[in-house]
Amino acid sequence: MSNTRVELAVGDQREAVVVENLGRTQIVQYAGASGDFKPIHHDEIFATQAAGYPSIFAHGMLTMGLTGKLLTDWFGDGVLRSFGVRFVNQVWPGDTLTARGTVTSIEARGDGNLVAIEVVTENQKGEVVVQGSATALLGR
Amino acid sequence: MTDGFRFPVDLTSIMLFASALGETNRIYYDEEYAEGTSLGGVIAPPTFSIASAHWNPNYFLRGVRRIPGPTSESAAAASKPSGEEKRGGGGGPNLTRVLHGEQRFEYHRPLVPGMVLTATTRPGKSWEKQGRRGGQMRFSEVITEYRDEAGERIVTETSVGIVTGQVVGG
Repeated sequence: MSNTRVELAVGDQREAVVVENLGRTQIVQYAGASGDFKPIHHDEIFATQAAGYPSIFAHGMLTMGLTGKLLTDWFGDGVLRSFGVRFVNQVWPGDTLTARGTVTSIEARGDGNLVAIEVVTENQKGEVVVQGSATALLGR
Repeated sequence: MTDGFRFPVDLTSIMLFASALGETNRIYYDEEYAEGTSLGGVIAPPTFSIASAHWNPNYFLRGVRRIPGPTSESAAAASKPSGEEKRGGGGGPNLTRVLHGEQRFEYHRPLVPGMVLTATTRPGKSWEKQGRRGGQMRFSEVITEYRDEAGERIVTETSVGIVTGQVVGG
């Protein structure tokens, strides 16, 4: 994927389902891999009885990581120059997330084309869960 | 503010992180494949540097230590059935009211196995806002800069944490 040459124009869009029916096991797996052991993400009793949430919910960073798959599958590996999101709504076990990216600008530079992308990820109800932007430097 | 902590990057940690994201992209774990690409080897996924938490001596999310604040008794009691031990020591945020608001990465070079990074953190801006769902909300930025052994910047993270007045969502 790292050798992909991407032909792009402003307004180009790409959409992908980045997780289907998110499982508690994957959330726990992410806790272990990332080191984020906040109990609200794995301890159902803590999340419901102590914190008052309907269930545990996914780490925002898991949703960001899943959203990142859209960008790396689209633009290739090792080309991102920036990636930022705002966590808008929580992601719950059982959610299916669709990420959508839109090219907002392409700037020709000495070292390649700097492509700016807006990205939004929604759950199965069409609610935005994360929203943000990224840039990628692509060779010509 | 920390003086900097070591974050050695290795293949297994990258593979585990990619796997938790459901990644099937071989650039994250298959050395033979990765060596045949223009990158010349395995790299880490874009959000991997967050896993430096495992190495951060001041990281407050590495297991529950104490849940202070108004919910502390119920939290401690509720956590018992899951085998959470209430440990000594004070301080730390009330984990029932802490949310991750924003996260940004600025990339200079991909993280690759064998890199030994030094991470330094510093506070950024902080502000307050009356939230529609969360009551009075306090926002604070933490900036973490990762440099390699030559002192070159590899990635810079900005994290915005929110402490909310009440439970958000659901």
